[in-house]
Amino acid sequence: MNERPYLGELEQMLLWVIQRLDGEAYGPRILDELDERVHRSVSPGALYATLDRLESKGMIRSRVADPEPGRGGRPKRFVHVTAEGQHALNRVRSEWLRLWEGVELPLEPGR
Amino acid sequence: MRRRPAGPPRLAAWLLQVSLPAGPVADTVLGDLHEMYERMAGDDRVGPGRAARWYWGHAVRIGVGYVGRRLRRESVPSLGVEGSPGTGMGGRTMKELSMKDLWNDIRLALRGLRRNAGFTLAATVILGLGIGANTTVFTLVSTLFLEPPPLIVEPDRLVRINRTTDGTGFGALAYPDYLYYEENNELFDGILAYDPSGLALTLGFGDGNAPGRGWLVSHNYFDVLGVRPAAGRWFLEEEDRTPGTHSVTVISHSLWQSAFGGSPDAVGATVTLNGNPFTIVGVAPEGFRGASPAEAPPDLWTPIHTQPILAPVGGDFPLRRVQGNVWVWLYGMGRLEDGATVEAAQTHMDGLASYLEATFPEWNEGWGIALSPSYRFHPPDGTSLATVTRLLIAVVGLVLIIACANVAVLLLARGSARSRDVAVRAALGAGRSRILRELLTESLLLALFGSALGLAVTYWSADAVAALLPLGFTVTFEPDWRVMAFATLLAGTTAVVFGLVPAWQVARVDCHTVLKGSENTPRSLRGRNLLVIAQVALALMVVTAAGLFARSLATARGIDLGFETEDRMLLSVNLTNHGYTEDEGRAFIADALDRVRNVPGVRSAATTRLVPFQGRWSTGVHPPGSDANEGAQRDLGLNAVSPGYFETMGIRLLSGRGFTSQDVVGQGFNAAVINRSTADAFWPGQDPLGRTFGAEEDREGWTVVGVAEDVHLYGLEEETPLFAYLPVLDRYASGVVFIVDTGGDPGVPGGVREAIHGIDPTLAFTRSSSLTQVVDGVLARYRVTATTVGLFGLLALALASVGLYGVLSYAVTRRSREIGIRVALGASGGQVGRSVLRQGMALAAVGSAVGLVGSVAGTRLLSGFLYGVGPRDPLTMAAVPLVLLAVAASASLLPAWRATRVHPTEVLKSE
Repeated sequence: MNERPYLGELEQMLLWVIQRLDGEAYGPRILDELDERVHRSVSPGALYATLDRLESKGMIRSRVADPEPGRGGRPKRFVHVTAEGQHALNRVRSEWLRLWEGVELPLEPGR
Repeated sequence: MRRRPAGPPRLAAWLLQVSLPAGPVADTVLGDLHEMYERMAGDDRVGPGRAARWYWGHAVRIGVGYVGRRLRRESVPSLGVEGSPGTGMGGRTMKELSMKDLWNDIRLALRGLRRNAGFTLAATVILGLGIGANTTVFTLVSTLFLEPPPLIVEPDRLVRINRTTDGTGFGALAYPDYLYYEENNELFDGILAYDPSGLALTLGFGDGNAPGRGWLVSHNYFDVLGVRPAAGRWFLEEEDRTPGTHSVTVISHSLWQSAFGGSPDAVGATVTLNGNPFTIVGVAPEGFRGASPAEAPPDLWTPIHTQPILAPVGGDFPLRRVQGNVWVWLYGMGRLEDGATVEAAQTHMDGLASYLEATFPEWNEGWGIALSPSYRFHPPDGTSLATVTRLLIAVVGLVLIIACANVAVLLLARGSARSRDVAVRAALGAGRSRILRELLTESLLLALFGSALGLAVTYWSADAVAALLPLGFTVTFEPDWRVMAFATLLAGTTAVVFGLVPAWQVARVDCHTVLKGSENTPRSLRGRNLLVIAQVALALMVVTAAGLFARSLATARGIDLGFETEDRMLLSVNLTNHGYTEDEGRAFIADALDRVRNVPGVRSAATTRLVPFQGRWSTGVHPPGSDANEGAQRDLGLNAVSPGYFETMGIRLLSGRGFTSQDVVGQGFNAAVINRSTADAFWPGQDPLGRTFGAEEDREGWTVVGVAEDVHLYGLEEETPLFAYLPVLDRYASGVVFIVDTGGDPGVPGGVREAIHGIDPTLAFTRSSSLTQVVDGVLARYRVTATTVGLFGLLALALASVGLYGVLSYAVTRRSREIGIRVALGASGGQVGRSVLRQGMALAAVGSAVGLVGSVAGTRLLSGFLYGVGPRDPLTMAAVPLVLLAVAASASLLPAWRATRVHPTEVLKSE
């Protein structure tokens, strides 16, 4: 009955980052990207919970790669955005753009 | 050169791994954390230490998060498999739980409990008894060990100070030593001393006499305790410096009220103590009862230096040092300076003690000083009290576990009855945690009801249980806030203990199976069986302990003491305290005995210096025939008794005679009656009459005039000592105990008192009791454990049989369909009933076997409490399981009978 699943803020950001990393997205990499781009420091626990949720909503898919040295010989879980996820991301984006149409705010000084 | 980091903390990694769902997800998460850890550890600004802490923190949080989500049944994808949508409460976290939810839970639970009033009542009563037993014992613990003594300032700075030979023993102090410590210590604000034995006094207020008790205390007694007078002042230092010069006293608040109506004129008034005038200088505040709940507060206090007036033992002897003799009679207690520790004070006092030891070796050799922070009790008393208390705590703890198991069984039975209800709700979308929470709320409410009932039980029973303890003093036990807090804590703990397993089981209900109607939960039956087995096993352990104590009490009671106890009254006076000289004392004893014997109803009367089990007096003697100056001396117990003693005590004379009024000083020989053991030891196979023994350089020997049967005079455990009775008119002792055979005439005790007061109306009776009371006191420790543990044993037995009954009747209800079919197929009622009975007995048998193993392992801890019975007494070990099986059989009978009444057509129709 819910055709447009709700996307939380963190979910949106993660989808965006995963899309942006284009196949290279896995745990630490995603956290670094979030930190660099939007200065958001997200805890690993929150990351995994959100990734699992996105996956159960069908927005992303995971792939477990081969084990690697430097990680205690453990594999990476690469995630990519599914067609459904891309669709949702697009939808959110166009909704935001529509909301911003004609709205002007005074620019904040500094950053 | 930098050390290569050794990898993330292994324990944290392991903990994380076990809390993650099995599969590749776990590996990738661990890998991510490992990678980030390595990066941080390699970073100079972070370093391995902080990286490790970071790793721990996140490992725990991630682990908890995954476990929580799995509990809430949120999908946790195992990779490659499409995750299933979350159910019920979905992603709600604890934070989102509002008060409204809580209130809803409570309302729901209350409604459920009201619907099942019978169940609620049963569970409340069971928990109430279990919790009540615990709160009652805790009330004793709180009163004895936790509650600070009233009115005393900062009691935690008080320490007991006494003499010791080995650092653990705790002996009284001599006055000169006390004075040395008090004047030379540097870490105490003050050290007080008091005579714990107290004085029996006759108080005179002008128009009449009343019996009372007094304590000799150092002048700073009240100041060190930090108490303020209700009127007047405390003692001055100069009032406690010279023997017998300052007759001043501080009276208790209750004496102030009863004798002076609380008038301020009491200060400065005169009261006579044993006939000596004393000036009242102050009044103690209301409720003041010293530092120890074990010491009954006296009616008044006088300075230690009034000892030559009130308790003359050869003048002011205890206050002085006498060559070769030290009178140790004072308990010390000090108030530590602010910030001083017991350890520092001990070290400091050790220094003072070694000075005393070096300076006065003849009195102090081998003696050190011992400090004990347990200001409440003189350490040995406190230890024995604590031991009994610990035993009680263990026993009621077991009872509570049984009660919890019992209620858990009830909840399990109820749980499967409502599994359908739960299944419907789960199917409608209620999350598992939601259902779990509701069930736990219900348990918590039950536990609260139980606690309330338990507190009521405690309120009514604490005094009764306290009366069973060998306290030797009376304390009012009132449940206070500590007890309330304890009861609440118990309620919470028990709710989790008895509620979690059944709740878990219900919450795990599989809606498909239940709604389809095929109920088969062998697991829940197994859980119930296990709980019943546990109950039976624990009950068996408690009952075994109770059985051992009962046997031990019976053994102690059954001992032939060698003397009569029935109708023997005891009345003690101390003649020296009333100024009698030795000659006056002898005359008094003879006169008083004459008068007492003429009191109507008195069958016989005598005096003795020692009462059995109380006090010792002995000397060393060389066995006859050995050289008086060589060889080992043997310890010979002594007592000084009057004519008529053996007759009055009912001690059998084997040969010779008892004492007569002719056995006095100057008859030319010193008469003695020896006991059988002495006769056997000194003159085996010969007639001891007329023989002499015990002569030493400084002492004439005694001539045996009679041989008496051995009797128990010291502890029950002790072997019969070598013992000799001496005539009191010859070996005078000023502490005189009258023993009177009253023949059960209730008028006699009053008549005896009157007769003695007829000679001297100011005489204070230091004690008035009976031989039965004395022997009861000796048996107290056995009786206490036997009655209290017996009581709790009965409770445990009752709870376990209720548990067994519950499980069996439930099983019969559940199996009614099967039973119906069996009956329809031709099984007889008897066969069906027997099968139920068999099930009950099987559970009881397994439980008994487990309990027996536990008992054999556990009862060793009881050996210190037992008398004449081994901790693995075969009779008890055999009898208790039989009792338990018998109880189990009777608990199974009703369900078995119900099984025979199952009617096949009705059961099958109802399906």
